[in-house]
Amino acid sequence: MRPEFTGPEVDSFYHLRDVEMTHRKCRGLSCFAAQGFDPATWSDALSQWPPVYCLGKCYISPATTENLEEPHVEIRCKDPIILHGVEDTTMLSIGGYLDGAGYLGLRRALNHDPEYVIAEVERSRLRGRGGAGFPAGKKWRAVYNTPGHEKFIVANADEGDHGSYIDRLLMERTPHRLLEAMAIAGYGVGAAKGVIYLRKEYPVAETRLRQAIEEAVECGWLGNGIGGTDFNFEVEIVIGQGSYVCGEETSLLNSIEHQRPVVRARPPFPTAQGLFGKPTLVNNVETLCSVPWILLYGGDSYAARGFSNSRGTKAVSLNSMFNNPGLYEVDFGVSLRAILEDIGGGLKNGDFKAVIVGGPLAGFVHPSEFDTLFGFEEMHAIGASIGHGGIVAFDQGTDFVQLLAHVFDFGAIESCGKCTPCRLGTRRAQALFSKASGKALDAQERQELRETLDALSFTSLCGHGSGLAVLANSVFSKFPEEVKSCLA
Amino acid sequence: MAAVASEVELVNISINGVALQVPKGELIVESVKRLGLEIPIFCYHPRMKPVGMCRMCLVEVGFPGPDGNIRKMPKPQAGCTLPASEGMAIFTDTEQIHRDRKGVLEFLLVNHPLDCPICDRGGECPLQNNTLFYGPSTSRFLELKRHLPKAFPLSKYVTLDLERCIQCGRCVRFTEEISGDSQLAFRFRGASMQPSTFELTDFESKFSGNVIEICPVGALTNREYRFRARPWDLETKPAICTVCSNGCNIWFDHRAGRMVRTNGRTNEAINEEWTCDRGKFGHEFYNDSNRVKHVMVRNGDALVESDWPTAYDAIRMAFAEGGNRVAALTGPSNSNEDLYLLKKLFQTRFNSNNFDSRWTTYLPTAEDDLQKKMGVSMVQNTIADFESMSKVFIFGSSLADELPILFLRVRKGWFNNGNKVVVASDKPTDADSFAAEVLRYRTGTESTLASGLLALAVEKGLAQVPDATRQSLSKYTAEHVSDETGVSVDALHRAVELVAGAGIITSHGIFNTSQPQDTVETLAGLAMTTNGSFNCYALGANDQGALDMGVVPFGGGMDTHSILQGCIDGTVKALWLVGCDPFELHPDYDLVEKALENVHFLVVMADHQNGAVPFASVLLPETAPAEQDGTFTNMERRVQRMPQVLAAKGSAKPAWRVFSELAIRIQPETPPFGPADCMKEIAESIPSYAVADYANLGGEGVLIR
Repeated sequence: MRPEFTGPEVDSFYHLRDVEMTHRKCRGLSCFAAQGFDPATWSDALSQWPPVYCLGKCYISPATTENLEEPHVEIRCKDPIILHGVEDTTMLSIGGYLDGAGYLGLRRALNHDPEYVIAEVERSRLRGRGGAGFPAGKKWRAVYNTPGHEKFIVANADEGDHGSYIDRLLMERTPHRLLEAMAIAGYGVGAAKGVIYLRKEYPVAETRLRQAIEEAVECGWLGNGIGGTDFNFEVEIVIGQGSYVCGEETSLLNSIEHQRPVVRARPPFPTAQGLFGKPTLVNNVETLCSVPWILLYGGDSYAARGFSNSRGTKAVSLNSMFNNPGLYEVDFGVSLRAILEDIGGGLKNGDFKAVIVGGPLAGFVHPSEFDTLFGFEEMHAIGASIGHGGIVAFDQGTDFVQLLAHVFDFGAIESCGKCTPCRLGTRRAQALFSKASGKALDAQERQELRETLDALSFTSLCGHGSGLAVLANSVFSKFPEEVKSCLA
Repeated sequence: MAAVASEVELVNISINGVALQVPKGELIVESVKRLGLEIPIFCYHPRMKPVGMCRMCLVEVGFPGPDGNIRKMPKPQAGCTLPASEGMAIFTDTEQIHRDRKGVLEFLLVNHPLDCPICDRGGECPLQNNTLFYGPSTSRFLELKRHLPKAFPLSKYVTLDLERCIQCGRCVRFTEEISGDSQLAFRFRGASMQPSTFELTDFESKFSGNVIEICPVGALTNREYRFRARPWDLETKPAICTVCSNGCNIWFDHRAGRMVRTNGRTNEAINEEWTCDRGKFGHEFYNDSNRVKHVMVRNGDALVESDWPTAYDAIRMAFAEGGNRVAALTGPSNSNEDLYLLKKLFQTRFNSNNFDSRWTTYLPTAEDDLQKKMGVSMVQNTIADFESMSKVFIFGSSLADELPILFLRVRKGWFNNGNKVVVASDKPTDADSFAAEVLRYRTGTESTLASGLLALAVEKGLAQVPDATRQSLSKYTAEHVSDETGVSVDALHRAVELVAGAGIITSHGIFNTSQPQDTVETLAGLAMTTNGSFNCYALGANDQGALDMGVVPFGGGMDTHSILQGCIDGTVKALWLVGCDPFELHPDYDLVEKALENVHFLVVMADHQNGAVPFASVLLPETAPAEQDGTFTNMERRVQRMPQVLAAKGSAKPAWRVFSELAIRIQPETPPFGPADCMKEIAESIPSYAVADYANLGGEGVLIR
């Protein structure tokens, strides 16, 4: 699928191309928050080049590639949907997965026509778990409705947002669920090929997925004539080379095509012209992994869970600042406090200063907002998000100005460079925040910082630049005391 | 106009409160121009796809709400990627927009070295201009600027200064979208992103010079122009490129009598705004030290400086015998006026038809004329026609080398409209890269391939021909043609579908192949019988003009080869070379050498020293094309006027004036007072040129049909 040819214009974009994933120390936001647990590791992480942003081990932050400790996984809702089988390794092989009703969702789909599959997903009211929360059914319907004999299913497994290790665990423990989901999607929208775009930071997931693909092909759940029907579906894995923006779906498609992974203008949306210009369904791993359950038990059963416009259940991952770090499946509609305090057990060191839900480009949540109910709209109303459900907590010792400098450094390193404000403004803002963490900015610099953030927010081409401004603005409005040194 | 407008769906929009109608989907960056407004831009270029990278063209956008009030979108939008839709309200002049533009410009200036005083672009730089109009007045960045390679020689013609680059991607997109050689690409990401050659090799492109002009800063500069002038020192005059027959419109920039650089000048009918490297960098000879500046007359072994009256007297005596004893050969860049008066001089004063403007191996005779034989013209399409032509067949021409600007237009038709292009050539050509089918034939089998395609078209019912023709084509079975030419039977079958009804492009280069007349007639026939069109384009700057002016020996004179042979065997006593070097133009070097050695009297009229000068009896300084007023007819038969840009060198005169002065010395008459008068005379004897009156020759020039 990937053209053999590689050139410096593409290769030079990625920072992990020639890097072995050993002896790497994570520089992600969770590890920033937890730097006090192991200052030496953190200081190594800061001096290491190229940097690695989020190894998906936020439960042991500051994390390294050498620390192989596995996270605690627990179901904290009535019946598990997404984490069923993730608590242990019983569903790793196809035998264990089949014992746990594996591939029955696909079986059920194949017994019906594709329209049935699309309708079930629509009825489930499943929303995208990658961050945007777009109704999955709408996307599936759009690809289904686009004429074309060649279509693609792309699983976005570039879980780059700091604080989340949900997709990693789903792929490492229940790899077959992802394959089953992709096959269902392929059958539904009329695609015969699936691509998993997996980040290089997850080598174990790669091994397990490859193993699973082999088993599934052997057992006839992938390949030609699946389940005795004339439905064919194959899955290929493409490994990322280190670039945060590849998590954005159009960049991701460019990366698979071996183009420079810069954001594509939309429209046309990938559902109309995606991979190689063909109609393409791009879904996040967790979104896809909800699908076999939906097919097995029905969209209505799924929609019966959750509340408001947030249906089903959600996996959340808590970082090492919590007393009980780990991966939990929760019902939508519980309060954020219930997740942070009842499940997470509060912080190891004193009280919360703030949390971030769903990656560094979402807003901060102030402790006074912890009673907000866990749901897409509800979180949005307080200037935060569900994102992908990765939760990073910050204790009282956190220096917000340093934090902002750190995040903007990350933003500048990971900017694709296509648009002016993000390419140059992120670095400028980082310089000002760094300066402010030493001594207070003067009036002119404060003014400049304000204007830089405004320009980032209003003029950026995609969410990378404006998301960084959102983050900074949420600190400015919710924690003015913490950023006195740079607040205009 | 009304009829055209009614076909386009219009939408109502307002710009800064002014209501107007624009075509649906028109980009807002273009719509604002309708009100005489301007949105500052860097990355946007009207001839390339918008990318919305630089964020300079931001506008505020709103739509009327249910209460009739405009509701603005929360964030400004890039005008270059925003298509007009019904009810859209655009604001280009709000406080928010001014703040955003200032912000973007400030970012761009963070890294920009601001070395304007030593930058070639200073004075004509979009970054400078936009900063002046929309940017901050002072810089808040006091830190050290980034340092990157400066003055990196990207190619023979282009220098790259990475410190000045603002990463707009225009150059990268040019090589992807326009020239198609994809020689430039971005490397790295974020703030480290920089344009460079794709494989880190030399920037090898036939159109590299264009990136210098579209660069909105001084990152890409012209190696030949570097540090030679500031824009405000230059005098800029419109001109026509005389390097090939496309007739591109250019600007000649000169300073104190020296040609300093050429830039593309917009002519939508011809070059749009592009130039090829051969043209853009092909005008250095104006400044050469070996320009011919003075009249020289042979005295024994040496040429000694003389004057025009002496030269005229010598020529009169030598050419007095006239008839078949005298002859003239012309070069590719004489103006129509020069050529017409040369013919008139020979016919009326020397009673001779011995003149020829052609230098190919095969020289078609009067009887070979397609118009006479088949009733069709050798030139049926304009350059612009190929943009909308769904099928194009390039035969036997490396188009990017022979007619570069036509190549760009054919490529544009493929890139924008998906036109199908078939290339038949004996060697690889640049057009192969986008051709739907490439027919690589063995050299010398051109005519067989053409016949084979016609035969196959007849067989498939794509072409209707008389029975006699059908008979004569019977031996050209696909298998036979495949054996002869080396083109596979399958390829022939695939190609014929695309070739039938196509616009065929070939060039006078075909006359250097074997059996060219057959090839030309068969291709013309293929076009005729399949409702296609046929073109055999001239290659020299004014070769088409020379044919139109009748500088061919069809009145019973000798052709180029016979004239040179005549010089050797003594039948031709006096030869006049008008702006041509036969050693460069004629395929047979030895023949030329013998001819020039043996001819009794040789007039060499040239603008710079050439291989024939050592043989000259009289050397006449001729003005170069941009040093005289005159018209040129390009390959599509478009007549364009090039007004005089530079002063004549030394005592050089335009050729037409020399012919006229000599003519009145032989037999008095009222001479033409200038090139405009010459054109009036031309119109009288060549009626199709009546439209080319100097009063009409503005704008895009006039097409002769």
